[in-house]
Amino acid sequence: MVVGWALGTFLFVYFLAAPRIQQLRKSDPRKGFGAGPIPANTLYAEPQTLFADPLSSQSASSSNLMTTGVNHDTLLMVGWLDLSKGPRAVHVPDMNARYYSAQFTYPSDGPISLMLARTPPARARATTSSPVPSTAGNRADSLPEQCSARYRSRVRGERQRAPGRLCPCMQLTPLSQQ
Amino acid sequence: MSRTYTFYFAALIGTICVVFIINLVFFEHARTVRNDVVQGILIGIGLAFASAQAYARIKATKVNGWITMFGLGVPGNGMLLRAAHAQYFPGPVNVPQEAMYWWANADGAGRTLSGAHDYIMHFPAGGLPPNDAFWSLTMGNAKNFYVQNPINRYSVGDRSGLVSNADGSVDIYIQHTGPEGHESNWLPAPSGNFILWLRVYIPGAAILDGTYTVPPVVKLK
Repeated sequence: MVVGWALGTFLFVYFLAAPRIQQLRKSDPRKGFGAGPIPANTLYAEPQTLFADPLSSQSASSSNLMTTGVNHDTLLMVGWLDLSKGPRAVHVPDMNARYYSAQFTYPSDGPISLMLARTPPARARATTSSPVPSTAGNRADSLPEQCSARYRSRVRGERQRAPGRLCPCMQLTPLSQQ
Repeated sequence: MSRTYTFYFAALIGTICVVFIINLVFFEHARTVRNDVVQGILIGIGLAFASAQAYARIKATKVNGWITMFGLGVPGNGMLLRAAHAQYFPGPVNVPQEAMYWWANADGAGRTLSGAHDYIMHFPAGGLPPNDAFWSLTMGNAKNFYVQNPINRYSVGDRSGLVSNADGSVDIYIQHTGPEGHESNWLPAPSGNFILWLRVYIPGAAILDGTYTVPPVVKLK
């Protein structure tokens, strides 16, 4: 009995945060945000019409992660990294002093975040090669082979929130192509 | 399930677990290995849920009705702290140096926020959230969804064109219908209960060291 308590407590506490990350995994790459599944190692930008009008632009078949947990501050670019076939490079265009951030979230550890430093314009490198998860400058080392990637960039003032070009998009490419 | 009900649910689960354990210790039962394992895991899950809720309450900071937690998303957080954080701030939140988050479902006096009332949030001169990026105050309904409103405004912040008072202070009007003469500082609320989120990106030192206090949401008479 006591062993069962300990086991149940440990498992539940350990994985308590994980379901939400699994939800990200299911929503981002498998369900997409209105245009079908998002392949691994592909970044998908939140549709600008959805950002401008989150209540009526939502597709019934798409994930609702972009419109729940209300956040109307930043335009999201999301993707699921699979680094098993090599490191990837994130290219950040000139944001013209606009705020942006890059965040990696582990599937197994729940809401643990590693942030990349901002030195726009920047090329960031995501790799699994180092022994300790870390971020230094533009490197995110020792990421797990699979993790969620979320890039946020600030959207300009409200007058510019009408559908249109809200901000330049980041790109993800194999590091060998750099 | 609202956060209030979640707390009561956790308290109920914890109580059931404690009663079950007392019953098990002080009364004789016919036991089998299978039953022990199943019951043990169920009790373990119940205890874990109640523990995470209790720990979240301990680790959360509540000032003026605003709830926040420090250390969100930091690599190296233990599993219990991660579980506690997930109770109040689920999802892939940023680390504190990147963003700090507060939410409130009650005004400064502890009364549930409702669109049936009008509220004001008063930032004294120089009292806007210190940051090196930007800040926002976002409205969510009781289920944390965006709220439909006639001006398509879902949040206000430093880029919203908020109009300061003559003394440099800033008032944000939080209500279901537009405040006459103060529409520029209006954050539309639903007719029912609602939740407010305050986010500060690249927060200043006063936020990170806990000395900055978010002003209360005050019900207007």
